[in-house]
Amino acid sequence: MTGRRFFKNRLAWAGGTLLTLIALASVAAPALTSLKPDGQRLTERLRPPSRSHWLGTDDLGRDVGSRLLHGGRVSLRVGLVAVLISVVLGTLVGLAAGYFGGWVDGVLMRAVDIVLCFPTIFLILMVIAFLEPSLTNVMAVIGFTSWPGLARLVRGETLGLRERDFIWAARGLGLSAPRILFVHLLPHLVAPVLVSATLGVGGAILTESALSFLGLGVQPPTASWGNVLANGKDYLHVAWWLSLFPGAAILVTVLSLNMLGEGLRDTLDPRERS
Amino acid sequence: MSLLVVENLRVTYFRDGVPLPALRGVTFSLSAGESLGLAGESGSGKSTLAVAPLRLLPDNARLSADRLVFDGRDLMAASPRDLRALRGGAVGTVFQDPFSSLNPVLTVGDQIEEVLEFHAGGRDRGRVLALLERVRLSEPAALYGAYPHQLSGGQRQRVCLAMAIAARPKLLIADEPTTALDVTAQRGILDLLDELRRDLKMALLLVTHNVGLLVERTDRLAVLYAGEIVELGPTREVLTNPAHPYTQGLLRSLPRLSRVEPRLPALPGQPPDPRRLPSGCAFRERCAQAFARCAVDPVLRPVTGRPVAVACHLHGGAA
Repeated sequence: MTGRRFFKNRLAWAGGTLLTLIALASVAAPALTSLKPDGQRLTERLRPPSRSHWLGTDDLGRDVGSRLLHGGRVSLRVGLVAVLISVVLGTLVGLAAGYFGGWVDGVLMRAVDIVLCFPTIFLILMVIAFLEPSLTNVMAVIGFTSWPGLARLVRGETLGLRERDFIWAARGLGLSAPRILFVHLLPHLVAPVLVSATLGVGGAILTESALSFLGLGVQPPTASWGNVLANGKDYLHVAWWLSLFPGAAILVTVLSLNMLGEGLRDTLDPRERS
Repeated sequence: MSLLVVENLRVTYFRDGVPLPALRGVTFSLSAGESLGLAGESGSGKSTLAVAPLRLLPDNARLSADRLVFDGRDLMAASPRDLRALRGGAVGTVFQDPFSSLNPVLTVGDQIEEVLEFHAGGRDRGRVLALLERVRLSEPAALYGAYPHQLSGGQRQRVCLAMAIAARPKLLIADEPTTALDVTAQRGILDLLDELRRDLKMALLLVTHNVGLLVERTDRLAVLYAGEIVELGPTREVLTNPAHPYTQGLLRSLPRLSRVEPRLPALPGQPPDPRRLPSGCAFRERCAQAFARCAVDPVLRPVTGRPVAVACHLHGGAA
């Protein structure tokens, strides 16, 4: 049933396919190109796309195609790990707040409000400025700042589920709170969390790109879509390929994640269907 | 010795700060192995009474009681952990709607096994199969891995019963266990309840709005009206010779095959609004025999020469 609805949804189908291709290409990057992402050849600086360099070369003569393929591994990894952190945190906080209610709910939701008060990007910038910019820190910081929305979503779902008869019955049978939360409630949250996480990966990739663009994300010479793009801005008027391709990579990836997320929502969450 | 003693039990729900009394001083006791039927119409507080002894109430409920004792343990002083051990342990509960009281994402076997894990020394597939057989479900092995939606309503209620008796409780509370089922399935469940109660020597608290179901099935019957017990006595005695005007009206309004009537006599009026209860007897505004004394709250007291107790000024002479 659910499966058939998903395959009927062309948008989700297209998003999923594109995303799979991008992910496969990134994972298989070393096999797809023999050119090293940080192999400099100063004699071949700023070459436009050609047979030997499909997507051109940058100011240090590095192959842009190779940098994007390898950068995809970094960007996708940041997206996945950051969202994983955010899903774990957000789900735990939301479950506890929604199920226990009372002061637990009050404290946790005020914490959510406080985190939401800060403009996320400035919070991240500040934290990164104190720590050193590195792949690990970028993933952690994005993960630890993006959970509040999910916590609210999970709390809302939990509030509704808590009053369902089978949860009352589970309490009437004397099951422990952790058992009810993780075995009886959690499976019912998979659909909304999955949808939110899919959309979240796109957001995290964008944030990583923005950070790297500002020089506070993934540090050169390691390639990420964000810092390839940032590098391109200095040569925008002489080498358009330096900016266009990483920009397109980010755009297509985030777009397909959003299409997939929307499709999943239509498929899994009957209430949102129109 | 009494297994369950309830004295002056009061439960009030608060909605937007407005108190809505659901139980207004309920007193009864239940001996080991005894069965007590609780009858009342919607809003009489009977479902609250089914869950109140184990204090399984929503956050907006306040409970008080002069005494609430189960098997020698004071439930008013019991810790949340103690209460949790009793729920599903020494006290099994069957809920009203078997369609919604099983978790749709877990298998039947898993849900029964969980009760064993918490109350009966651990997971044990063999015991789950034995329990499924005990509630007269055929092909227990196939049902073990089935999900609730694959079962009929009667089968699901049997599964709920298996969960309730898994830890061999001393008391089984059944809150309208047959309301959601069709008539044939109802009979099967009630017969099974009878059988289990006798075999496992459990006390039974059977809540229902259908007084007819209680005939021959419970030792005693309590009639609940607006959060109070208005009549309590041996089931047969209460049903054949009702003392309270409310019980009389309730029984008159039951359809009978032996009597053809163009229109069933119904009780006049509506059950009272819990926000605006009349002073004195809660039934007096609907009662044809009401008189001046009814403005004073009647107490549940034995009727002279009969084994029943009734809360009505028509009985019992001088106050």
